[in-house]
Amino acid sequence: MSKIKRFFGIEGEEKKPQQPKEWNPPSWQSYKGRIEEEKRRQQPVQINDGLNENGNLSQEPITAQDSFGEKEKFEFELQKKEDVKLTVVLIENSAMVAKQKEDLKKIVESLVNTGFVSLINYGSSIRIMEKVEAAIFECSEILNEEDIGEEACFYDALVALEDVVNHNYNMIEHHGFKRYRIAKVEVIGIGRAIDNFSAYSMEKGIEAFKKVASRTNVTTKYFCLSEKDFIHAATIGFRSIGAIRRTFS
Amino acid sequence: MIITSQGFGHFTQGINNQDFGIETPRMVLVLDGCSAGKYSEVGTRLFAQILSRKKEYDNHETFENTVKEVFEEIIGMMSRYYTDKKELENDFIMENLLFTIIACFETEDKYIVKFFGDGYIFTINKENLISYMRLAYGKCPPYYAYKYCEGTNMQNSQFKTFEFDKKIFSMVGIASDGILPIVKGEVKGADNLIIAKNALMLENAIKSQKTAFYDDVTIGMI
Repeated sequence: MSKIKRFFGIEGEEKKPQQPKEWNPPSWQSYKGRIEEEKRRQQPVQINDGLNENGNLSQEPITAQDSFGEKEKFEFELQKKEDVKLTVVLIENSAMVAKQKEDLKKIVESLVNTGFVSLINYGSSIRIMEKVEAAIFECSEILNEEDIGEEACFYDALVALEDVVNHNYNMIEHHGFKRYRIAKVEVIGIGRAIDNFSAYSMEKGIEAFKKVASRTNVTTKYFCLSEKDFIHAATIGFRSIGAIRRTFS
Repeated sequence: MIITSQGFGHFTQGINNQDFGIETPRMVLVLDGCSAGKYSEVGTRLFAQILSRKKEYDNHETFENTVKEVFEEIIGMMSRYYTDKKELENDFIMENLLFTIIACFETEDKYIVKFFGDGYIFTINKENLISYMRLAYGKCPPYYAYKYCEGTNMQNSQFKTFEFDKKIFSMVGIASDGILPIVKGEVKGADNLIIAKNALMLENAIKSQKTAFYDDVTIGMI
């Protein structure tokens, strides 16, 4: 044996078998990670549609997983759509109504508190206020001080009301990153529900009002100055009728 | 047609239905007893029974005088059981006779509603749109019996009269203020049942959603 060792030049002490250089067994964590990463790579491409259990869009961003790995992921956000109410205030711009301006302001403030509000002012002419958010609506502007008289073109205002509701009902508004859908409309009338100045006839006014009132999610109310005006509001067909001043005499 | 139902609030408190109604071919009458009155249900039924004994009690022209006669007869009949007017007022009138009186009459060309107290008138116009008119006067509504009480300013008050032309309104009805859940739209399909005058289904709808009606409700349609 020693002769063989001398021949091959491996004399001297017996050398231990050499181990391979740089032997660094991987940690269990990284190893697991590699397995999971490989599993993800092997999974088919999956796109989460972002809907939660209720079928509504979730707030979390949508991620698309594919075989490209984590570095290739892309994200985008969908704007959430919110259902809101539009309140249309139909107010008679006459001297009789102007006398009770403070009571009117309280009524309008109590009823207009969410969503959007639009105003239709009718006297000798019709003035329509552009739709604004209820939070910034100023009650001091409900009457047109320049046109206060005895004229009241109520039937013309009902036709204008039909146009306003047709234009806004179920429409989607974009405000910055938010989207609003006008899902409900509330029509609030204030005054005496009488007409003495319209171009349109009573039948045309009632027909226009019927088209508004017959839509789903449209409610109509009328606040008369006194109970004597109830019949006029009922002739048009406002669903809920009340009086601003309630005195039994 | 008269539909009446006990309110859920009264049911839980063990209070009887304080509303009452009577009808004739040309008149419906709805009486709504005051919840604060101990025996309001007694007063409404006693009044209705005696009123229906009077001649031409469903005539809109003589109705107000007939009501006055009935009140004076009832108070006159009971006064001997009380020592003085104050006791009669506190122990009998206030506990029995505080109720709203609403009557709807039909004539050839119009509907006439006579109102003393608070409640609702509802109408259906030619476009089949229903309107609910609310007559309300706060927590202390005016009652006819206050005319016989001292310290109230109701002695000169009269019935309120509303006239509805049949050319404009196809139907007029009356109701006590317990109808509020229907006005708010909380009873699905109630409007259509009223328009169709479907008394049976309307009564079923009210009674099947009893918890929605806190107060007694009575509806009258000719």
